[in-house]
Amino acid sequence: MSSFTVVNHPISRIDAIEKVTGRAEFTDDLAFDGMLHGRVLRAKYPHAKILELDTRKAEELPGVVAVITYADIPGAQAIGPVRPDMPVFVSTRTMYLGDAVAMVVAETPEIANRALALIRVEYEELPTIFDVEEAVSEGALQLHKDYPGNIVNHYPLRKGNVEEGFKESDIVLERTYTTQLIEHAYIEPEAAVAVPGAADGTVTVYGSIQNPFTARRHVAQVLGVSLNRVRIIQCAMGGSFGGKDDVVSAICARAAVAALKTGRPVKIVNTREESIIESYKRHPYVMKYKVGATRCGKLRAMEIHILADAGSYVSMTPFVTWRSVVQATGPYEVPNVKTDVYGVFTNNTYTGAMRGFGSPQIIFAQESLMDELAEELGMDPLEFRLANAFKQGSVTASGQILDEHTVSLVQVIEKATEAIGYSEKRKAYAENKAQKGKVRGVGFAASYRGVSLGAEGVDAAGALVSVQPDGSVYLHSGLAENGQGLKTIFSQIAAEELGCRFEDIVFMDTDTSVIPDSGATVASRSTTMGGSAVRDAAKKVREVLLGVAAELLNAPYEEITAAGGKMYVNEDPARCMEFKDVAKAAYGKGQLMAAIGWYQAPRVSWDEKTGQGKAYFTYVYGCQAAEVEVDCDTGQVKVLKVAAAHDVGRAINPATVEGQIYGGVTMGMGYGILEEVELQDGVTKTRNFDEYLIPTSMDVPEIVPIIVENPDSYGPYGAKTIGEPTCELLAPAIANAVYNACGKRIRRLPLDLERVLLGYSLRAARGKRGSDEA
Amino acid sequence: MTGINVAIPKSIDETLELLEKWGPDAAIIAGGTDLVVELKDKLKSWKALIDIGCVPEVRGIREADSNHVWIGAMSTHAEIASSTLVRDTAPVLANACAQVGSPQIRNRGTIGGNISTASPAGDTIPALFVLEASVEIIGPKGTRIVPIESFFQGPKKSVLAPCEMVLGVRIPKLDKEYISFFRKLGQRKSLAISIVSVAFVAKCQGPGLFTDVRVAFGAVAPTVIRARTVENAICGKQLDPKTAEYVSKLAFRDCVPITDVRGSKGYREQMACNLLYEGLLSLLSCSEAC
Repeated sequence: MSSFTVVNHPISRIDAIEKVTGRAEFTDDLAFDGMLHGRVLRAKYPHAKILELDTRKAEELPGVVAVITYADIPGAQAIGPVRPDMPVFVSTRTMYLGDAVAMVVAETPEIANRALALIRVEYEELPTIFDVEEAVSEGALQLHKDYPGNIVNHYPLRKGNVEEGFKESDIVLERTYTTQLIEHAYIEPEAAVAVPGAADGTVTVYGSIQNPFTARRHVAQVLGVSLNRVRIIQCAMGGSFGGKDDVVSAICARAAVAALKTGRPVKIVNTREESIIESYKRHPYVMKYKVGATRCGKLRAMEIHILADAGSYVSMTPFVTWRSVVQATGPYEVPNVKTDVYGVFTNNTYTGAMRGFGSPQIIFAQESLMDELAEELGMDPLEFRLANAFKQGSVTASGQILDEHTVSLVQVIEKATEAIGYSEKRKAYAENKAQKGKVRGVGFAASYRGVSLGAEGVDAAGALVSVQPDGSVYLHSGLAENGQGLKTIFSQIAAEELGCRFEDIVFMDTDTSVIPDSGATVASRSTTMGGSAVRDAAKKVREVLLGVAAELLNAPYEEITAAGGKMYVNEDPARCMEFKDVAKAAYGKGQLMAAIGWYQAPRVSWDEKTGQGKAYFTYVYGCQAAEVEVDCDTGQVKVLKVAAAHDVGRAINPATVEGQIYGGVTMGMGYGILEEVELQDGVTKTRNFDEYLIPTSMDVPEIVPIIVENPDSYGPYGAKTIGEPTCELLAPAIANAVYNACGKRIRRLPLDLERVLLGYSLRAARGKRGSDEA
Repeated sequence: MTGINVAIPKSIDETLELLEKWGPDAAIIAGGTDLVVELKDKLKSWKALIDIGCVPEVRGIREADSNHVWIGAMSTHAEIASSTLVRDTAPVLANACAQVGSPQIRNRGTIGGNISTASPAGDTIPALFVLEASVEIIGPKGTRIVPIESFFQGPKKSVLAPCEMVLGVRIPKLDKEYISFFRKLGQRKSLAISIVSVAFVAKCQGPGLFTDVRVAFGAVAPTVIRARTVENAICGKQLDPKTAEYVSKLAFRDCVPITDVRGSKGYREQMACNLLYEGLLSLLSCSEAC
């Protein structure tokens, strides 16, 4: 039985009913008097010079109020989370197919659409690069003058001496693994509405915005105004998965520029096709791994060279690839490591944050590699991993000693592999090397993951708890609900800490004018960081209320407990007051019943030259094991069952943790066997969900969620992280299971039918859209 | 999509009048599962849509006579898949209809639409080919009947003239001695357009012995095709797993697939053979019981 009243209980999500009944208000549901509609004209070529842009005919079309271009931007022309290099509207040169050239603002979306066809753009096509290896080759075309060699960033990591390490090794393997470009596939495409304020130069932007503070910074920069002139209100989110960050900032900025120019509200809603063309994706990686081990199965050295396709703009590439460099060896003790990770510019669709953030790629490589190496050594992949796995006090590749939290890697590996029956099944299935019909296999993958931002940047978050005179509570948070269940989790933490009832809390939409800048809702940091801030705020208010209760109950302050809507004397629970009566009394006494909570992450460090340091203040460990069936005649991989064991520190809400596991496993499966955004010379071919295939409910296997709890010293009630780890493990588990089933080692994602059957995909020459002509 | 006329005729005569009035500017809308996508993507620009949902003459699944089943063009995939009459006398079609798209698409999409759209990947069409169904077409000059195999002329091309429409299909009933098989291969379990599909019917004369063998493939040629080479190699000959493997390789001779977003030419060729082999094994094992 849990010692908590609200926390650690599987409470239903507070936004569940409004979402399943369709009552939740999404951005496109908003309407304002006099609202106009913006439609964007996009680049015709991925890399071209704009010789002439003539918008006059479009402007003359009745119903068109304005045509906005770069010339209308009062402030910064370009934005970006790390470097401001992505133009809100391009002026002279397109860098990828999703670039905005101009935007028609009209009375209706239909008029705006018609006007788009009247804009005349004269282009001169420029030479292009779509391949990362070509981009970094000698004499390659330079896409951005400030980035020689098309290198966005380079992260080295040096530990020990790999040359020595390979000399000490009995077996050295070299393997190349590659991963594909994938789409977040959130159900709601990007959308924003900007409403001009009554005061000059102020604007409120509503939107499907993952990170309200990032959007505010970008909108203010583009308008050339101070931050307090821009107010961002987040609407209900139809999914984000890391995807509604800089791309949505650009859309908010376009809407804001148009709203201030026309003096009327302006709404922009992307179609699915626009969304897939414009929005950034998950980075494709080319990963060369060289690994050395002794005959008895101890890892001695690892040399890793990674090229990450950043596409056309910097976006989050430096942060994404930084997580890769920290975690590239996997959760194993390797005394000698040399890693180099490069972000590389091309004219492909740009890549940025996506659930996993630089980990799904490297885990696919390193966990495939661990199985390959075990095979070479004649060892069981499980025993081999356990022999090298991080344990309490292990030292990571960056020299960090893992001694401030419970290192539970072995525990999660054992739980997941036991649940799938790995050891017995692997042996049995390995016997069966049928070349026809259906065969089964099992496989697994394990990971460790740094919690929150780590040495990426400033890491602090705030919350506001405000108890009303009737005992009801407003809860504001600087981190935002993106579908992960944050409203519910934060409300549970606030209720637990205040001692009120869960249903007394109302979670307010995130509004940048109410709450301090808490950074971005990313990196699976909301429960750890935002949850701690909520706890801090609630604790401050509880202390005030306890003071009042102590007076009224005539008992010492420290002998009163607040829980479940009551405040009572520990020794004599019959001496008790309702929470609401205490609130009423406190109000009557003129007490402050609101507080801002704040939480700043513990210190971390990083040496850019050596890649050494305490990268993250704590880590989580996860393992997913899969059983698959491979049809040797068609190459079809059916995932039958997945066991997912994740150490979350403490499950604030076991039901939402399971929800994260179901969702993450399903996304991981799509990455493993189905999904790939097809670009042909920079042109997006898979533009809607008829051709970009994600798993349907029919494809989802039996999923066994296993919650492991080793409370952490930092997070609220010991809670850590769950959002991203669930999404980074299944693809290599499937690849390992496919090998176990049919002896085929596939080193490139996804494991679609052709790749499993033939070992490669023949689909390189793409057909046109539509079911038949191709 | 602004300014499109939608007419909802109450009879086939009214429908024909509307077709004549609008000519090529009008499209018939049944379930709309293909047409609405075409409208949205602006692949076509019709001035009028004629919704035949209220036309009684295109509805129903019934015995046309003692040897034929008649299925109205407006019959949905879900209706056909659950029809006892179809399941008893043309199970291959019921099976194919049950594998179209998703529940939503099966509830909206119709057999008349699947035929008129004339996609080489249409899931009901290989089944109709092996059933040797006939398409009833109605137009200003009256009704004509076209064998399903002569109906298609290429991807999205058929013998339907402007102002004509599909009224229904007539299907010769199969007796209990026939064994049938339908298999589609898609990238996932539902909402997947076929990479390759194969339909079979054959009259079982004893273990491994078949006459009246009919095999059709979808998505391996500009239209659905009958695989005559394969049929001849099985018909009246003793089939066993070894000959089945040999015969399945003949699928190459009947298929001329292309590379598109769902699969490459080379993969499709192999899959035609492998699905055929799977079908032959299924046929063989069913024939053990007859």
